[in-house]
Amino acid sequence: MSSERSESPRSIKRIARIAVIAVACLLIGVLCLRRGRAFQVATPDSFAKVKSAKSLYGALTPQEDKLVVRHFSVREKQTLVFWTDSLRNHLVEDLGYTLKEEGEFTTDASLAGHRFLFEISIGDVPYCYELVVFVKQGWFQQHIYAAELLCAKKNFEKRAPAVETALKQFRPRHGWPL
Amino acid sequence: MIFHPSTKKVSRYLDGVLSEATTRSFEAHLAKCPACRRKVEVLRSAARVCCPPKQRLEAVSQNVMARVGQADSLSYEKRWNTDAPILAEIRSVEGTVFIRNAANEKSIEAFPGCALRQGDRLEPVGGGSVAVEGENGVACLVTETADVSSLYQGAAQASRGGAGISWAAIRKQLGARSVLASSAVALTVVAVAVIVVFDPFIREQWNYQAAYLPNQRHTPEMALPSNGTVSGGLEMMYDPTNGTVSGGDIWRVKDGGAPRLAPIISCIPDIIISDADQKSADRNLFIFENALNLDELVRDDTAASLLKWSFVEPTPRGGVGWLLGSTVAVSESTTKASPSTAASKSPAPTPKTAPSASTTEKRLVIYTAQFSILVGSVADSMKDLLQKIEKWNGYVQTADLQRVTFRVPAANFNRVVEEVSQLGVVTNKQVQAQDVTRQYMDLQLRIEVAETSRKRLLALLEEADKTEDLLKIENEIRRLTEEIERLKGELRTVADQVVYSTIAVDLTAKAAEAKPARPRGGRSYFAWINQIGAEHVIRTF
Repeated sequence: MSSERSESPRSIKRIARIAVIAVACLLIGVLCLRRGRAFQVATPDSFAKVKSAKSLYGALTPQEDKLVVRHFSVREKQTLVFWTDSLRNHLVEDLGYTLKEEGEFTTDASLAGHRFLFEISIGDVPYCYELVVFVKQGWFQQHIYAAELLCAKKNFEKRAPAVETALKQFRPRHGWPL
Repeated sequence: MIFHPSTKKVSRYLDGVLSEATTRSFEAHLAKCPACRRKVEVLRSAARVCCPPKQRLEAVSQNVMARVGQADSLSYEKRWNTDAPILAEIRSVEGTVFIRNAANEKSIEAFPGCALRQGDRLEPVGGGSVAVEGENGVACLVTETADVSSLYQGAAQASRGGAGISWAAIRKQLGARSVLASSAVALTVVAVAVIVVFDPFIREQWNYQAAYLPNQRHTPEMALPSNGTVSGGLEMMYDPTNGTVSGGDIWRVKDGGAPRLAPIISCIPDIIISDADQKSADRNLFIFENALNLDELVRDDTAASLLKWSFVEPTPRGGVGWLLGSTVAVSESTTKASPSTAASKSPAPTPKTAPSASTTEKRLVIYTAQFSILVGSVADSMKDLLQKIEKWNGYVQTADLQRVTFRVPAANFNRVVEEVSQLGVVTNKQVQAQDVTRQYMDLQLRIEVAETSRKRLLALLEEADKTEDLLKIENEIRRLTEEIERLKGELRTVADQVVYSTIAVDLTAKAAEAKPARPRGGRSYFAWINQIGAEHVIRTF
């Protein structure tokens, strides 16, 4: 009887120790998972993934239409409206892009973003440049995701639906909860 | 929520130093707050216990002074201010007098065997409280400031304990933070000392600083120890064709103590060499460009066996080095002289003619540049650029529709960079210069050594009789030949990069005409926004 009494606290301690180790392993696992790419994006039809890094995704079509998704961590915490205004100002005023369309863009996971469509000319060839921006608040900084599609103007109508479908499935992996 | 006044404020109230308005509001609060009334009573009773009536003070003071003794060896000004509020009855004053500043609770000074005279006033720390420690703990507390809350607290605690005023209680109130701060400082000092003692890099830097930069930054007056040794570092190399010394590295100088470091650098412009023994820099001062001139050294090194040099301007490796002039000066037939041979007693050779500073080589620098430029029409700009490359006596290395890499003579580099910048709106510009003088000279020397060895082996080959020896020598000659060819290839590559600078230009079209430049040169304040755009999308792939 006395031995049972003496072993009981030991077993409780053992269980507690195992529980602590399990929680630690779980946390480490979660952290490891979070160390992957900063976002999830599906490869659109007719595109082939050619670049994949922690903060970068790149895909190409046979005609070398380009889709790039990038992640930026910034210290300045601002709203989506602020950043879209800044982007519009920079691209139109500084780089001389011609803005054709713009509007809201929402993913299937209800992440709000903003979409721009510009026309530019590269080597006297007209190109379409589509930019979709998402903003997500982090703990200590802000996470900004920019999806850019650059393709010849004649190909844009063909590429846009597939890219839109892919971006609808876009999921950032920063912020809390996962 | 009711905000109760702090103990400090209560003590100031008891001292009668609060302003009228504050006193009125404080008393209004007291009328409503029994807790604060109790606090005031406790402090007041503590003060009553501790503070003798003023008329008793003089007698007590006289008694105390009589016991303190008459020795007055301190230079501090001491006056006893009997008008100051007294918090403790003076029982005895023997031993050490502690002086604290009650305002910041930091300053403390101890006067062992201090003698106090009536009328003395202790104020070495600009006011504050005075605690006199005697046989029975604290015997006397005098405050000259109104901020005595901590002393009141200590007195109150001691009185509640019924043990009179306890120095420990006062120390607890006044000294806890000081003790903590002192401990932290002591720990930090110990940690830094441990790091300095055990970290080899810091120790070497420390030794170097201590040894070589004692008084002047670049020209310390120090002599190499007469019985010391010099070791380590790369070999000093003497080029008899132009009379220069090159190579060199860190030398370790040991004179019985810890080794010190002396960086010896060659091919640094503007090196002053002077005679360390004569210390007559005016007479024996020479300024050379690019390298130490050995002939000059030898010519003027008749009296001293030790020469020192120092750098006119701080260099990346900076500092002062030492050179044993009479021993590093090698005969012209020798191509190398190592520091280890510096201890030999061979006399310095007599130079034939001292070359002038203008004959020394210039630094070999590889220049490269990269541009990203926004232009109205990429095709037109590319065409224009290609024509200009021909005009600059350059040639195109690689080119596609938007990007061109070309090479131009290094002499035209600055002009080309300036003209390329005017092609459009420069969004990115990187210009780099890499000094390869030492690398070039190393390669040259290694080739010379290998060729000398090969000549020697060829001579041996003619004399060899045995087949085994012949095979070994031929193998070695083959290896040396391959090595020489490889080194020569490297040398040619370096020379080519020096002679021709490489410039890469990335042209990107703008959809509209260039607008007037914005204050930030067409760039956003936010760095990440500058990475958005078609140009960066193209560059990603």
